[in-house]
This record gives sequence, structure tokens and C-alpha cells, in this order.
Amino acid sequence: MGVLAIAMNDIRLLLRDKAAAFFTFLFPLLFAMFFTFVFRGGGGGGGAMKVAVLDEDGTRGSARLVSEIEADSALKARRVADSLEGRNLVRRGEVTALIIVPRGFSEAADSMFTGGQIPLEAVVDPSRGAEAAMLTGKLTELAFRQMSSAFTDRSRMQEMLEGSRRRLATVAPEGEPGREAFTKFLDGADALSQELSRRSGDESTNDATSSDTAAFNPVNVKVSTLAIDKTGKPRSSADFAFPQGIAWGLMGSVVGFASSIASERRRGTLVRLAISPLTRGQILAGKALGCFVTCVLVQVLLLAVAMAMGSQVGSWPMLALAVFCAAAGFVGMAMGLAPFADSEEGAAGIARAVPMVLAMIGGGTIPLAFMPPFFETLSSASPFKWAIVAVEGGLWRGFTLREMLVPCGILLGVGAVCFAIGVRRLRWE
Amino acid sequence: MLVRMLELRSIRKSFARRGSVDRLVAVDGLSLAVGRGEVFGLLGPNGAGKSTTIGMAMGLVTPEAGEVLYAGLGSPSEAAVRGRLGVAPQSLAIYDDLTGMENLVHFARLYGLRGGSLTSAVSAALEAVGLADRAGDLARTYSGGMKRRLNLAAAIVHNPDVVLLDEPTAGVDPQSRDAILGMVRRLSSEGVTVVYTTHYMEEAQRLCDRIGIIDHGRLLALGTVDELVALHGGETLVRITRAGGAAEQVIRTTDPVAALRSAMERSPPIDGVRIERPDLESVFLSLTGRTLRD
Ligand SMILES: Nc1ncnc2c1ncn2[C@@H]1O[C@H](COP(=O)(O)OP(=O)(O)OP(=O)(O)O)[C@@H](O)[C@H]1O
Ligand SMILES: [Mg+2]
Repeated sequence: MGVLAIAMNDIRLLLRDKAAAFFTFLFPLLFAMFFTFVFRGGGGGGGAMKVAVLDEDGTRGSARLVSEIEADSALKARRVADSLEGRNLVRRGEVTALIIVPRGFSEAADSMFTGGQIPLEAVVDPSRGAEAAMLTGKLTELAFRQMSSAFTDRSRMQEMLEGSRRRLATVAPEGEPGREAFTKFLDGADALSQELSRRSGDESTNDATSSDTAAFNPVNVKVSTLAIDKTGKPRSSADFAFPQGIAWGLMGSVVGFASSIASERRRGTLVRLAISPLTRGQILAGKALGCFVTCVLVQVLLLAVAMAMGSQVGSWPMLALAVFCAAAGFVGMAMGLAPFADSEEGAAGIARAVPMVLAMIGGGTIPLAFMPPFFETLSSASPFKWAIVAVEGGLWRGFTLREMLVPCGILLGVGAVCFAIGVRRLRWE
Repeated sequence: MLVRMLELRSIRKSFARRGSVDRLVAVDGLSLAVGRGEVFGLLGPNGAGKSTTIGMAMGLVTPEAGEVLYAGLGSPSEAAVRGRLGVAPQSLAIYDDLTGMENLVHFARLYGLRGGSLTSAVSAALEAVGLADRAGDLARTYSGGMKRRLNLAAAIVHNPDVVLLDEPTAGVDPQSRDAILGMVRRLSSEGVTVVYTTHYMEEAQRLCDRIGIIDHGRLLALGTVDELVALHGGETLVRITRAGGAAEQVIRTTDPVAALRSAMERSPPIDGVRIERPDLESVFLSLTGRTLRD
């Protein structure tokens, strides 16, 4: 009987503590739903990787590939007129990569059978290496699909075979056995193409074709990371790791702040502050200042270590601006969380959950490209993401003041909104 | 004559109740005035509304109706007015992870003290509550009585004009209690107005210039101890036992001396006498029909 009484009482207490109940029941549910979305989103209709596309070749073939890229659901492409524009988009973090269809693309594609490799280039944001691998696969697949469609497109096939024959004529002397064999092969391919196009009406470009042909590799995707230094020398990996670390450190200060309010309430000292000659606004300002200083210190500490490990600061004023705005934004968030950290247990729950969610939607854990579009929109409001962008902007992305306005503005804006909500909802007794 | 320092004008406060549409009225149109330099006791049983009343007096709780006014200052909802008040909440409000000294320095700073005056105010407050020798220890290592005294020191560290103490002697031993009461008397002699809640009536009787008795959020009686006893205490009981083992005789009278004198004229001779004068307990009993500490 006593055992049952203890069990029942524990459950009742859990249900009374709203924050604890939330994290026990509702949060795992939301979490599971979140991942369901993520995994479903990975297939069709999911989030797309943002890319810029530059067509340097300017041929029919290259145009065909570009429109394939644009049509692909895994990519969200925007065309750029020149390399500089594309590189700037990468640098500002607006797109993950710049895809370049280089001069000579069509020519190479047409002489594919004679060993020419189809060249493609991608310039990737150095902080998003994980997504670069996916991009390589995607581009290879698209180029393959082009080729396989060529087999059933009579005129394109003929064009290609003609190209290969011409190339063969220039590289191998007449009468050589290899050349004979290749000529035969090309004739065979011609016949195959003829046959395929006769039986037309089939939608031949399915994925099976591309995976069957994957054995030989005529597509050469050259991936390079964007070099931001004027010198072009490779950046330190600390440049990418530490801005993430900073965001986590900021999250830590936020949680500390939220639970400090909860514990002051429990201890009764919040009451004592409330009856002191300070206004409630001043008390919160004092608390916020404490949190702000912590946030700045965390960032300074991490940046100092990053520099010791090889990072070089691109622009001190921009970095200072980023540090300031990130701290301010996270202070606002802390204030917004404080009313929900009713007890210290609640604060601990928030400590576990909020960073996880924010990091996930902010691109900290799962690359945004793998998320459904809804989360991408959500992530645009995540201070986690913008703190990283701002700090990277000052550290190595070479942001100008104008470019800094976006992340800093969002950080300050979200911070201000959260702060206002927190102040209105805070319980003092 | 009473120079008013604090005035409560028909203040009212109610709370929502779990699972009920009716609200719990904690303070129900309470009015009273406290004079400058006076030690005023707010006496009532558990749940009478003492803390809620003090809460409104210190500006923590906003009255639903009525107002709280400090003479020459204004309402405690203004920060500047709160700066002249010293408050010791019923539940301890100190930082366990700070030393006694650090606690007081922090609170004194909130009230604008700086530099030398801060240092001397802090040591004076520590001295006043008898914690000077433990000032460097963390508050978490203090005994219950010491924590309560630190809680009190935080209320007086900035030399306030009015001190509001909510059950400052709850759970302390007689020695600590004497120290606290001595401190209250000293404050009063320095012209500080003290409002003090308790449900220990001996304490109220010893200490307070005037007492307000409240129950269910209403003021039942107000006056000096003598006034209250004379008005509401009822008659004195004279208990007489006589030689020969007869039953105890109980005389109710307003004039015990005369009653005793006439009893002595009768025989058998008196063996023993006990005179029970009415006290605050009897006042409370006659006002509410129940004892103070039930
Ligand atoms: N925050 C609150 N929420 C709901 N009810 C409250 C709250 N504070 C006080 N009350 C209720 O108001 C009434 C008066 O409480 P109050 O704390 O003022 O009594 P008190 O006289 O100080 O009692 P005690 O001697 O036990 O300290 C009680 O019935 C109490 O339950
Ligand atoms: Mg009380």
C-alpha cells in the first residue's frame, strides 16, 4: 500500500510541475514527430540545398544541365551571371555552394565515349563540408541522367557519336587496332540508339539507368572550398568549429540565467529584490547585464582559443559587432525562457531540450539541407544559426557592415521580442 | 498624540483557489494607522492575513482595493519609497552560497550604499544581530536561528525609517528571540517605526506599543495591550481554595482586590489564592471564540 502511495504521489507531483510534465510527455512526442518529418523530408518534397549555378559554357548541353539542376527537388538553384556573384553568395552563407558548368562542358560530353570526362565544378562553403559530399553525388547523378537521356534522343546521340568519331580521328592513327575497335563500338552504339528511339514512347530516364551506368565514371565533379583569404591559403578548421562552440556556450549562459531566476524565486531572494528600491525593470536589467557579460566572456574565451589554434580574425570591428549582437540576442532569449523555468527542474529540462531543438533547426546538428522546408523557415528565426553566421562573418566570411546587418538585426530583433515576452510573463513570488 | 507614519486604507486582497470559482479573501478591507517611532504588532492566527497585509505594506503585493501610504513619502509602489523601508520576509530570503557579510553587502548596495558608509552599515547590522563573529562563513552553514537573524540584518542594514518584520522570531530559541526583541526595542528608541507580525502573544505583550488583532483578513481590535485587555479581556478570575478541602471557588470580577477582601471576611479561612488577569489570549478568545494558537 505504501509503495503504491509513493508511486501515485510521485506521478501527481510530476503532473503538477508543468515544465517537468512537458518534458516527460509532450517533448518526446514533438521530438519523434520532428524526426518523422526530417526523415520523410529527406525523400520527396523535402528541404532543398540552396545553390547558385553559373553556366560558363553557354551551349545547348550546358543549358540542359542547368535546367535539370533547377528542376531538381533536392536543390534550390538560382542562376548567377558571373563567378564573383556566386562566390559572394557562398561567402555570405546564402547558398551552400556555387555550381559551375565550365567552358568545354558540352564538347567533353559529346566526346564522352572516347574517354573524355564531363567536367563540373562546385565551390562549397567551407563550413558545410557535410553537404558537399551530397552535392557531388547529386551532380554526378544529374550528369548521368543527361547522358542516359541522350541514348534515346536520336539527334543528341548522333551529335555525341559524331563528336566521338571526330575526336577518335584526331587522337589515334588509322589502322590501329584500338581505333578499329572503337569505331565498331561507336557504330554499335549508333545502332542501339536507333533501336531505342524506334521503340519510343517510353519514358526512359529513370533512376535505374543511372545506377546501372554508375560503374564507369565519366563525370568529374571538382569540388573546392571557397577560399576567403586574399592569399587564398587554406583556413584553419578552428574557424568552423569555434563559431559552433560559441553558439553552444551562449546557450549555456542562457540556461544558467533562466535557472538563476527560478532559484532566486525559490530562495525568496527575488522577493527581496522586488521590494528593494529598484524597479522591476532595473532588476531585470541587472540580471540581463549579468547574462550579457557572461555571454560576451564565453565568446571572447572561445575566440581566444580559436586564435591560438590558428584562426585569424578577418575584421575586428565586425567580429566585435557580432559578439555584441549575439550576446544581446541570447540575453533576450534567456529572458524569454525564464518564465517557463518555473522550478529548477524545469530549468534543467529547458537546459536539455531547448539547445537541442535550436541547434537542430539552426543547422548545428543536422545539415539544413536534410530538413523539411518548414524547419528551414523556422531556422531563419533561430538565434543559434544567426549567431554562427554573424561570428563567422566577422571571423572569416569577410562580411561588410551591410552584410552584417542581416544576422545582427535578426539577433537583436528576436532577442527584443523574447525579452518583452519574458518580462510580461515573469512571476515574482 | 500619534504622528502617522504608515496608513493602510481599506486594503483588500484575494487569491484564486484551485478548482473553485470563489476567491479566497486574504485581506478584507483592512484600515489602520501606525505612528512614527511606534512598535506596532499585528497579531493573528495562521492564515489570518498578516503576511498578505505586510506584503501590501512593503509594495510586493498590489492591493485590489484601498491604498497604502507612508507619510511624507507616498505609496510603496514607488521605488524611492521602498528605499526607506526595511523588510524581513517571513520565509528566509538570503543567498546560501554567500557569506553573511556578502549577503549584507549585496543588499546594502541595492539600497544605494557605497564605500565607507556601506562597510560601517554592514558591520553595524552584523553587530546588531550578533553575527559579527560568523560574518565570514557561508550562510548555508548557519543554524536556523542564525539565518533568521541574518534575514533580519538585511532588513535594517540601510538604516530605514520603517521596518516591516514578518514573524522575525519564528523557530528561534529563547536566546535568539531575546536578541531580536532587544534589537527591535533599540530601533524603536532610535525613532524607527516597526511593524511586526507574530502569533506569540507574550512577545506582542512585552514589545508592542499598540496591537492590531486580525483574523480572516479583518481588524478585530486595535489599541495598547491595556486598552485591549480592559475592553475585550473580560473579568479577572479570582480562584480561592479554603481549608478543609472544599471545592475551589471562582470569582469573576473587574475589581479583584475588593473581591478578595470580601472573601477573606468569610470562613473557613483561605488556604490559597490565584488571580488570573485577562491577557491578549483572553482578548483573542473573547473576540473570535477560539484560542490564538490552535
Ligand atoms: N499566493 C497566495 N495564493 C493563494 N492564497 C494565498 C497566497 N498567499 C496567501 N494566501 C492565503 O491567504 C490567507 C492569508 O495568508 P497569509 O499568509 O497572509 O496569513 P498569515 O496571517 O501570514 O499566516 P501565518 O501566521 O501562517 O504566516 C491564507 O488563507 C492563505 O492561504
Ligand atoms: Mg505569515
